[in-house]
Amino acid sequence: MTSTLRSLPFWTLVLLPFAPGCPAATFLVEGYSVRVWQTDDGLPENLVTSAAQTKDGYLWFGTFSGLVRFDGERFRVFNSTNTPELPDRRVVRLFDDGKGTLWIGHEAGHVSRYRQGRFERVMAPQSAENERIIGLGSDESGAMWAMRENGAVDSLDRDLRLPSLIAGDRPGLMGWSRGRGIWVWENGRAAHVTGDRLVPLELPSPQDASVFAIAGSADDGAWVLTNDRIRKWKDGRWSEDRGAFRWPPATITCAVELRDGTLAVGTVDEGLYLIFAGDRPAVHISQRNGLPQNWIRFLFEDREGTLWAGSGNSGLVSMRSSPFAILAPPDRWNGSSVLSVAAARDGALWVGTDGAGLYNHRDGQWSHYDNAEGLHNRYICAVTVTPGGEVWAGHYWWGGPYRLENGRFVQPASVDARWSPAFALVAVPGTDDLLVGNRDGLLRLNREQGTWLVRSPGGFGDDVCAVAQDRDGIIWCGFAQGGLARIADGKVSFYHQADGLGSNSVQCLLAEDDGTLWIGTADGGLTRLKEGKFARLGPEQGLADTIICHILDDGLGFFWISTHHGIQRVAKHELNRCADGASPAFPSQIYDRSDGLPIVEFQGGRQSAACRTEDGRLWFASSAGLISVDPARIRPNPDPPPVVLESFVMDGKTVPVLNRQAAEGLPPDHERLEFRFSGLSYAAPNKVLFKYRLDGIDKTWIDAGSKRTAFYSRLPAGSYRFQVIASNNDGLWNTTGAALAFVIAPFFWQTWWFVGTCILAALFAVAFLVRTVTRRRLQRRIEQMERQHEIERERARIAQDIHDDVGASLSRIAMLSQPARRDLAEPARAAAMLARIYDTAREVTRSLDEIVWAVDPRHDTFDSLVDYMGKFAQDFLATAHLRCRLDLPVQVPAWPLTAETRHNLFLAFKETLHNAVKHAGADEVRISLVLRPDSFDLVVKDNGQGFDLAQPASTDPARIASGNGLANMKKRLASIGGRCEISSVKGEGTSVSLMVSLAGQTNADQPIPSIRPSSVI
Amino acid sequence: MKTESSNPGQTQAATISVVVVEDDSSIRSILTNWLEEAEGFTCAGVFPDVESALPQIPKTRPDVAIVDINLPGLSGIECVRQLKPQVPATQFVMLTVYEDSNHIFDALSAGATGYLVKTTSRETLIAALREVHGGGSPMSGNIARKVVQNLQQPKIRPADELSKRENEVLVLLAQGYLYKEIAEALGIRLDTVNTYIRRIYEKLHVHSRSQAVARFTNLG
Repeated sequence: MTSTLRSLPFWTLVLLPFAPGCPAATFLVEGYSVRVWQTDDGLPENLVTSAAQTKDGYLWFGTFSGLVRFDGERFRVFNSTNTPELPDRRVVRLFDDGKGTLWIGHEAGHVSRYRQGRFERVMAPQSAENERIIGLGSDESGAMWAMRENGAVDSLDRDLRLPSLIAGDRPGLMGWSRGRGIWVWENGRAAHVTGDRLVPLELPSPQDASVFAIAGSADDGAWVLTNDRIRKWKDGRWSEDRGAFRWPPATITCAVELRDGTLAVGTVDEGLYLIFAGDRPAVHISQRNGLPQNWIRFLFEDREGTLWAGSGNSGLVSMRSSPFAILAPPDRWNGSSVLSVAAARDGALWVGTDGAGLYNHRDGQWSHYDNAEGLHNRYICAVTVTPGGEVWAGHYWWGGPYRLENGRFVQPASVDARWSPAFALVAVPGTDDLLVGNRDGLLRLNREQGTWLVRSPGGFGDDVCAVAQDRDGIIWCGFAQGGLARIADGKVSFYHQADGLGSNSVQCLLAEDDGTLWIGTADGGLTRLKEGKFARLGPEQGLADTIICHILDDGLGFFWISTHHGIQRVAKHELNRCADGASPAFPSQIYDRSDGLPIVEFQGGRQSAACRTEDGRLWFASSAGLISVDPARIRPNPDPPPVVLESFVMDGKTVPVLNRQAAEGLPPDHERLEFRFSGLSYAAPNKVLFKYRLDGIDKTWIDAGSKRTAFYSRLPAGSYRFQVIASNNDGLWNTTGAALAFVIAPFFWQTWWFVGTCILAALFAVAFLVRTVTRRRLQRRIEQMERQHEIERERARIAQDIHDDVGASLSRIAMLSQPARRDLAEPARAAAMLARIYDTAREVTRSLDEIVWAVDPRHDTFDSLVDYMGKFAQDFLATAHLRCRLDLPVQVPAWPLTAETRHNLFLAFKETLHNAVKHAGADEVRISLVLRPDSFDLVVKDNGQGFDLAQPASTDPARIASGNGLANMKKRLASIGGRCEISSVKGEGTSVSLMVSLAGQTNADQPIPSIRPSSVI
Repeated sequence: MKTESSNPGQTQAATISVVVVEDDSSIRSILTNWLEEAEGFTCAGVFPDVESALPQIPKTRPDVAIVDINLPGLSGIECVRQLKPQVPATQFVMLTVYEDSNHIFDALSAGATGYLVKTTSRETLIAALREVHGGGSPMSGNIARKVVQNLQQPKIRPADELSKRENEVLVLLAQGYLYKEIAEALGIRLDTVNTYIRRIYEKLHVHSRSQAVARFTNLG
């Protein structure tokens, strides 16, 4: 199949047929990379009617299954199921007014709009006939209009209908276009919406009467397609003519003027046409060269310049101008791979294949060289054209290379028939010599013979893969296994991996004018040899692959590196900077399938795997054919992508977001937080890269690659901010990105008031503890001090007693022992004094006896006290000549008593005896002791005259002093925890009971034996 | 306690030999003077401590020995304990500053027959010595109680048990009866009371000795 476009310039490319129904992929056609989107990509259905792009960057498509929002990866569908505000799920027209509203036209004639996240109905169909919306947009003044299929144009701002230009009852072909203003055509007549009227377009020639289509222009003109000519009407005349219709008479469905001035025309039967300004021939894309179907339902250009079209019922198509193209002869290389390519001076291409011989392409013509033309072997692994115009080819048999002479390839005499297949053929500049690298080594071939320059270090099979010559004539040779050889002045030096080379398998070499040598290896990435130093570069620095097939310099400051993962374009200075170590990685563009390349693996390891033609294009050989790129047509995407945070989901439930902040605090017991975001760039959405960061958790930006989700789980309480930025397909970053702030509520036991309460409680507990301990300690101190005080009181009392009793008496003795002379003279007086001394001494002794008894702690027992009291009573009563009767138990328990108790009890007892002796007038006193488990009664009974208890003391002469004495006794007994009871019957005597309870004493630890009172043998 | 004397006038025909064991030199000389001056008494020896008295008293064999309880070295009680078996006929009378019934009882258990307070008047002291030599056995009520308490424990030999009469006397003493009142209550002569009490003392001495021995032989 030959091209029928003979009249076109030579470099029109034959189009590669594309089988319809192929899976959605990007393909190259006519200088464009085209991508088809279908339901497997997420579209709800393949019938796409319209498109629009809102201010935020989202692309919206209308389908008969609802409204679709596209973010580059996902299609989100709004239909009547999930969006009841939509009156009709069949969306046929879309329009973004640039002020934040998306206008939606429906099949049945409704108009609705989407504004600030909400859908609302605007207008219902006015009648039942043909109200389908075929056009939606704003005019020059911003007023919104909707055109219906019946030709009427309705205002959406007010109640106004501009009736159709043709009679209402006739069906007709309607069209609408909006450039700056609104143009309509109905049944061949064009009109412009001006103010409140439809102003028909008056064209000069009657042959222009039938307008096939109109495309509004960005200036006030419009392209009016009539009379078989593509012309622009502006200011009342034809301002531009781009030639005749390119299409056979067919219905034009739509026409759109693109931003660069190109006119895009969509048809029903013939696909899409692009009519360029200037000389560039029109481009026709249809089912024949790749579109799924010919019917172009709509055309829309987005902000990045991608052209979107609806292709029949077969999906959505996006198109971008591409610098890549595929060249193939009519026989499509007879099914072989392209192995080698060389450029001739006149712009011709020589292409060697893997089994189909050699092809030549010149001026659009193909010629083929095969066995018949002298190539005994059809596997052409090397081809070159010398500056002198000689064509040499190397094939996979011994005895090459072959030279083209008079249309046939012959083996020159200088060539040895034993030479192994040549993989590298490079002319030596300034000479007629050819460098031949074959499977044994490198030799230099002149008119007479070949001279070996270097033998393959690895012997046969260690092929010469690449040869390069620099300005100074130094020849570099790369081997398949033997590393790198440098041939200069007849001397050969080798370089291996140990010297710094990326690998010993060299695939390609590029020698620069400044002496730098670039070495591409089969598994070790790219190595630079500069000023004797090797620098290795690999994927960590940004290289697309470790397998480097070929390197080309495009003359515009970039290297083009073909690999097994696509073609990489990198600025030379960036690569050098990285090789110098000045930057850790180099930026680049990697072109792969998403750019339309049919394959990402290129031929490598052969000198002729790629070449550059004089027009600047680069040609790469691959198993999918010959792929070219025009470096001059590379336009990096200048738009950083808008970044949107699409959803924030916690454990499967969407968190409502208001004004970039989560509406409410999130509970602390969550499992998983998920952020979905998008970078709205559609040129190559899979190349949009993301970085995100959670302020509060991540210290640096996290590289998400092209993934559009981020996960976090079980964040601790606090406030956070999630940020995400994105880059477009050419690495331009939107560093502002999108952000979302949210707060994780603390567990109640983390909240400040709980912690505070706990801390307070702890503090209180500590304080309380300290207080209790201190108090107890203080109490013990106090007790100790009280005891001490008691002891000191006792000592004071004793000291007082000693002082009073003993001191006074002894001083009396002292004085009595010094009688006056007068007293000594009379023996009677002396004797009297001595007698007084004697009496005083006896008195003192008795006092001391009592004090000693009171002080000695060995007598702090009850039995000792009873003993003492018995003895005292006997002596006292005997002196007073009263009978003494003791009724005391033989065994008295040794209950411990305090000194104070002893003291008080004894004094009370003494007082009782005193009273009995002095006042009772008795002759017998009976003392008895009654013991009980925890108390005792000491009873002193006399047989005296008794007294009347009731009578006051003063009246009874027998009780002169005893009134006070009795009160004192009672006080004494009370102070030791006891009682004093007195009973008296006049005439029968008095009985005084001293009762003491031991529970009040400090003797609770003493076991109390049971006592039988008055036990006798 | 004061010694209860019942027969103040009774004297022996021969002189009563008395030894004194006392560490205070003034008291020693005064006692010696009193004894020399008193009719019917001779001072048979004065010792400043027990150690010097121990070898001499068995040789001297006095009628009465006045021993101070509080002596340097061995105590007076120990002196009595060691000497009484050697000179059972000698009556030991303790001399004490204070009437500490525990010490007095110990002394009486050791072999003493009575005790005197150092502040006793001269006449009372001489009379008491005469009485002790004549068979009197002074015992006060609380001493009697202590005797009762002590003698409640079972005896080793039935012969050491108190007789019924002796028991009655002891009980009445403990109850505060005077010797005279006891004689009246039991219908016996005063001398008999003395005799009973003397016998009680002897049994007490034996008892306390045998108790000490029993402690050694019984080993608990």
